[in-house]
Amino acid sequence: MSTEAPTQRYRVDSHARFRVMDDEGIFVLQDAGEVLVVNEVGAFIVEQLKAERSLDEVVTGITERYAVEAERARSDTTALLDDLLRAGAITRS
Amino acid sequence: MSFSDTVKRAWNDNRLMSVLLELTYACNLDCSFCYNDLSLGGQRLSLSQYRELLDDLASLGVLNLSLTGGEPLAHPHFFEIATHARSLGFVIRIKTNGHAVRGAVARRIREEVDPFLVEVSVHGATAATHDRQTRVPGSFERLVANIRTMKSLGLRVKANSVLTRWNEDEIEDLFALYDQLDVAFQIDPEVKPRDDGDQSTLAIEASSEGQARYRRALEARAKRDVTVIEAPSPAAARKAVMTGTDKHCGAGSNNIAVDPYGRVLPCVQWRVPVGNLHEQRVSEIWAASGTLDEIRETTKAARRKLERFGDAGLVSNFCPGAAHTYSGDPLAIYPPAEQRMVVSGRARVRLTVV
Repeated sequence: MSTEAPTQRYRVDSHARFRVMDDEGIFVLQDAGEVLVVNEVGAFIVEQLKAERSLDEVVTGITERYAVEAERARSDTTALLDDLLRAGAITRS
Repeated sequence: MSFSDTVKRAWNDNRLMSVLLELTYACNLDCSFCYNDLSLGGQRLSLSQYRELLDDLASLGVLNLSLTGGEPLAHPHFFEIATHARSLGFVIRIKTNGHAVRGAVARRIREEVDPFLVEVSVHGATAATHDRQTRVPGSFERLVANIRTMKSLGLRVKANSVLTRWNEDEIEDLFALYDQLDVAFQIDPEVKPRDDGDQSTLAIEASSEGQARYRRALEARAKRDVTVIEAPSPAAARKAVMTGTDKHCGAGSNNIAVDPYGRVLPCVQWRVPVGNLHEQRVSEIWAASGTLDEIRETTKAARRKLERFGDAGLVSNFCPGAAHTYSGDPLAIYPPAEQRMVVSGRARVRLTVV
């Protein structure tokens, strides 16, 4: 479980590219030569990161958009962010 | 959901994903089998039009952008176009002859454009063969030096080669050269007619012995060190790719090309204009071009036609664009596709993103 500060912000890594296609998001990890596909919620989260929203703001956005409790939203969001950080798709701002 | 599923959905749903921009037909080399139609004319797209086009493509959600030519670096605004594309988050591929990508230019590409891939044209394993094709003495030595420079800067480089009568005797040496330079590669075993239908280029098509030698060399390499999936047959491998869509290819469905004069084409090989950027925005063309609708239907018809040939049709590597260039009929089987239908062998699919 990540212990990121609620005010932590992230951005798409400078060598990665991201596009939303219909209801999913595509990361192209240029250095690794790999593609990551995230689902609709994942794509929404990355769009929030690109809009420079903090972790807390992203979680709030998810609870407003999807019928999910804040605790679950935070847990799932931090898990996804950990995965994306490990993959080199995003970095901390 | 895998990425291949995403691509198939793009085919099915007419979701524009990849765009190729032919920035110019100018080139600093003079390749004998260049496919560009140099007799084409018209009003070139301006820098502001390219910026508007890229903005529109980003709004449409386009992911992949290829910058090619001619020689794309010969375009006077190459870096302005490429850096604007980078700012919009495209995955950029640059298709170049590599001749101009020396120190400072290579560094600018790495730092300002940050492409996913630089594709260079390698016409032979020796200076004699490569320079014979480019008709520029010294071009091979310069290309090899430039590839080394690009690699040292951390650029991902891929070599594109076409199998011809001139290089078919050095195919093993070509593989050795790719390894020595540590580059990915793709060999097109088929010399194409020029975009205007001129078939004089076919005079240097590889011989049947050369084609066989190429297949043997590829097979030996695959056995040696390439990660492969061995399918029960070539047709089975192709079927796996084609499952989940009723189209033969993504021409006009998930990809388009744009020539230097603003003509929008269903793909780089299918030279039928579906609109012109001097008259319409690309989003309008994408949404409302009747010709584009016909192209999409033709890719379905091509699929149905090839399926009637059974497994042979699946392994023909048929291209409606090439068929159109050969005969004006995108559904007519042309000689190289016909030849492939009678060639059998074990299918090997290389696992690579390039």
